Amino acid sequence: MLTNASEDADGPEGPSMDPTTMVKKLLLSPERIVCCLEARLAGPPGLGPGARRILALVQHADGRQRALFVLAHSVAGGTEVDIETVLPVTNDFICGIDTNGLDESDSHLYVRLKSPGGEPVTFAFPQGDITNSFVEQIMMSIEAALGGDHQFGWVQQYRERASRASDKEPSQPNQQTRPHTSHAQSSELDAGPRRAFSSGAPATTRETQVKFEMSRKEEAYTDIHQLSRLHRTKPVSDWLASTAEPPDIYAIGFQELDLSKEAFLFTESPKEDEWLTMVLTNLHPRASYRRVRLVRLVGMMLIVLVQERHAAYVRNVAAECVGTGIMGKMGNKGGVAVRLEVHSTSMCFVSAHLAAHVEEYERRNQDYADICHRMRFNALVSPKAIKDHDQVFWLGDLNYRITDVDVDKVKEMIERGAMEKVMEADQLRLQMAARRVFDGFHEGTVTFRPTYKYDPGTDLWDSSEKNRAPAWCDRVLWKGERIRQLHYTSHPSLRLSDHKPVKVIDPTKYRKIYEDIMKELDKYENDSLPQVSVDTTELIFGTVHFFETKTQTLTITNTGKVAVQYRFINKLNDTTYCKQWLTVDPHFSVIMPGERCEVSLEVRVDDRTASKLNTCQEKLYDILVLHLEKGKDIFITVQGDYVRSCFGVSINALVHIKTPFAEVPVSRLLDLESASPKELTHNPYVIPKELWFLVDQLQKQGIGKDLFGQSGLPAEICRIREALDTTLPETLPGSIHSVAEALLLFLASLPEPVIPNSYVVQCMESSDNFIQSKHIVSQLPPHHKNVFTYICTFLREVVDKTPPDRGGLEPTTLAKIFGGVLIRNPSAAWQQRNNMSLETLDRRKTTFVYHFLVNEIDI
Amino acid sequence: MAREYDHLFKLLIIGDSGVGKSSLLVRFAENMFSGNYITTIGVDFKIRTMNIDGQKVKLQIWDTAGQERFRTITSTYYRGTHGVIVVYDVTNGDSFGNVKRWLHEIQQNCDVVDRILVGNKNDSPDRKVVLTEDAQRFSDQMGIRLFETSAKDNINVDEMFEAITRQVLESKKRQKEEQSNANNDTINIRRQHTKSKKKCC
Repeated sequence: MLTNASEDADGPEGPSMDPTTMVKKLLLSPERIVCCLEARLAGPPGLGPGARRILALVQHADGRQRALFVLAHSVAGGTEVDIETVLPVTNDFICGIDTNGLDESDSHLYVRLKSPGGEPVTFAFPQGDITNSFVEQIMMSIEAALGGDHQFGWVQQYRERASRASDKEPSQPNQQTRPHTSHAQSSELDAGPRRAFSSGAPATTRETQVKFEMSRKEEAYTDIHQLSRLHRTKPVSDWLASTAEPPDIYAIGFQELDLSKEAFLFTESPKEDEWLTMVLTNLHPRASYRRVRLVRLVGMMLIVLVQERHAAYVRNVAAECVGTGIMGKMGNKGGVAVRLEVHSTSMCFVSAHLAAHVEEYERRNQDYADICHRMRFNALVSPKAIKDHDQVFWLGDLNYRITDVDVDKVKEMIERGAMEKVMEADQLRLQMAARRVFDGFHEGTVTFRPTYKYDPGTDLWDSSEKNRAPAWCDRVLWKGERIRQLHYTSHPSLRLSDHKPVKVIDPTKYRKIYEDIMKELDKYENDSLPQVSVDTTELIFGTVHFFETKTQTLTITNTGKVAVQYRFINKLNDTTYCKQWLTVDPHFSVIMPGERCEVSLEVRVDDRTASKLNTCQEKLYDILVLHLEKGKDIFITVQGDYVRSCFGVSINALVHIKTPFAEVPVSRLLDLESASPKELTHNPYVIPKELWFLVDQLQKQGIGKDLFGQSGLPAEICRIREALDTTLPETLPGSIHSVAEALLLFLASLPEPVIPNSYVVQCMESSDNFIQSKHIVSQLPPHHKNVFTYICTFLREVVDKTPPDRGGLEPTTLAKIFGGVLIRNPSAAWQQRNNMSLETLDRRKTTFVYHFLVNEIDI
Repeated sequence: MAREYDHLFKLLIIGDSGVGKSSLLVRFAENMFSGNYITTIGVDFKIRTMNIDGQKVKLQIWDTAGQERFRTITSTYYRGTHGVIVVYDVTNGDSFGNVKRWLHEIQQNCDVVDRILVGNKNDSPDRKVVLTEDAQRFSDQMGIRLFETSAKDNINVDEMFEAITRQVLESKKRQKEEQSNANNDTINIRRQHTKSKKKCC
């Protein structure tokens, strides 16, 4: 759907005209089109391809420099094209598959191109052979290109034409249809990678990328570097024909050569033919050879050739492979072998590639043992193992290293030519001496420089951070009674090998590269995980008083590459994400990359939470789990020190406290609040003194002043609480309305309400009946009964002195207000069982209290 | 079409605070090490894909806060874990002493899980206080494999993760086999069932 829509936007397909012909018209005669195809600009991720473009890879007259031309149709669907831009293909030109925002329904191959200094441009190509060969051509051009500082003078004239063409356009189509140039430009684009990896993108995404990355890196580990090195050190022709006399037998081993673009991305065709041709054309010129056998196991290949004149005497040829690599199907470690008999001598050539990594010599020993054990020439009438041969030759990348000598010292000794000295630290020699590998094998004196490890394409030692010690990874060993003579006299190919053992000069290991790519993709995936930083993980609120609001801010910054959705989540079996005394706002939100969110955390202890904090059943301590959607969790600790208050202390405890509440030790309070207090005063107050202070002030100053008709001010309520807790106040601070609200708050905070919970059901059931209601009150615990009658008497006074017609509240309104604080709802189970809604409960509580406001209280 | 992975395993790293759990993870997932100690306040994870005998194993490795005060919260992250890496610090005897508690923690929170014991910071012999022999004896007793690693010097880290991954792979394989063994009867019955059905038709 989307694809269709964008096609329409660009007009219908024009008359079919070969893009090559259109581009050709624009080129000056010496320039040649290497390949050319139509593509589309990539739209925003997920939206499919955008406007049409023609891409042409053009070769300069010098036959070396190439540039990529991007052309646009002058008129949509027309046959005229204008050069939009020209990108010189230098060796730091970047061409890569782009999987950002890949859509399952989108069949295009997205390729990102970037010339040095320029902005990346992403094109959508139709998938197919033409695209594949086009991309391959670009890759090859990059590989063949010279350094970036080379002048691309010839490109300039085309560029000038390009700018003229865009100047002509009044609507600046370049602006409008400009390829989307950056992946970090907008949040929408940033969402791409996340979509690709975090939310079920097609599983092929990563696979495609692996393949493509592999193909991109091909040059690093196969022919190109090796060949270029060979060219520099020795012409290829020399390499196989460096001796005066032509050898009788050639055994040429290769490692890590299968890793071609073709094998991994396009045609799956192995490159062995090319190598074979290369070998065949470079054999010793003074003899002709016949191929005995070529054997190959993915990356390893062995070619055995004999001189034509011996060919008639070669019998019982067989070849076998043994894979030992842990990569299984990617297969790259193990050995391939060819066995044959010349006259009456049986020979076995094994080309091996043993486990890599410096410390893995035991694995190499094991690989060797495995190859020996498993290699069996079953094609023979009587199957033979390697050891069953008169002569056995091992060649290949055996991967043994130099250890226990300082890298710089090794290099220094090599420069002095003290090869044998260095060889004393060679793992292979040491392991052979310990008879743990290649037992009974011989090796010629090493006089050549180590074959490993150089910076790719140079003669410089490995300069990567690993600073690997040079090593003779590539070796030739032999075993067999008569081999000395035969070898040194009649098998010059091996002597050649001794000079320069079969030659994986730059064996940048395939496996390592594969792993590097996996790591890179993992890194990409890890980088695409939501990431945030928080300015603190511990919010310390200090002392917190009852009803006091304290706020702190937590800043969450999105430090990742994708949008983050955070949410505070419930931990363990909690039903909420934070304690009741805490409010988090916003407790979930979305933060875009680079942006931040300020979350306010507000602590306030009110009537719901005060009593538990007073008695230390709870603390002002909570750990919040800040969860990032599809990402990590961060623990945010919130803590404060609650200052105990008379608010939230039970009536029965308060009547025994005669000093200001703040002076009561915790132990005394805990005792008073316990089920059976040990230390009770002999003459407790009738009601809590705090209640008296509050009501007394209301009676003295509040009657006739719209009592309970207005709300108080939190700050004043705090001051009233402070006065009640710390003093025995003559008068309370704040307005009369604040005192009124403080009274309500005081009653609401009681751990056990004035009508204790055990009486609630009775209340609800008999609320319509004053007699029964009075009876219930008469049954209340003494201090509760005192408080109830005290409050009701006060309320009657309020009603009497300020009747509704004089501005006072309706008794029903007062009853409703106090019903809510004097009586609490029965259990949810009871409510459900009796099918009682909250409204009904409210009405019944109101009715219950109302009786006592309008009738004489004669309990 | 090749799949992104053949197996997806969740591994969990636990152990006392400061033993180097995060360092091990960062070394393994990103091959990096930072000497700056940043205590983990929460639970983080990284992924890494390994190739084990030709099978692509995607690991989601969870790194947990080691601090005591988070113990109860972190216990909820054990769910669905295939392998647990219990880490102690070879230069800190207490952290080794607490391994038992961590193993107990696993027992409390996981049904069946593969475990591995890791003595990290094994890079300065003079500071080492938990002797290899003692740790080995203990791990033998517990029937767990022991690895001594250094995230700092990148010693044994990949090997350790590979080992636990192989363990998990093995367990999975075994489980599958057991299951298929248990299912044999069912298959037979079904086969008979289809046969008789055919006859009817």
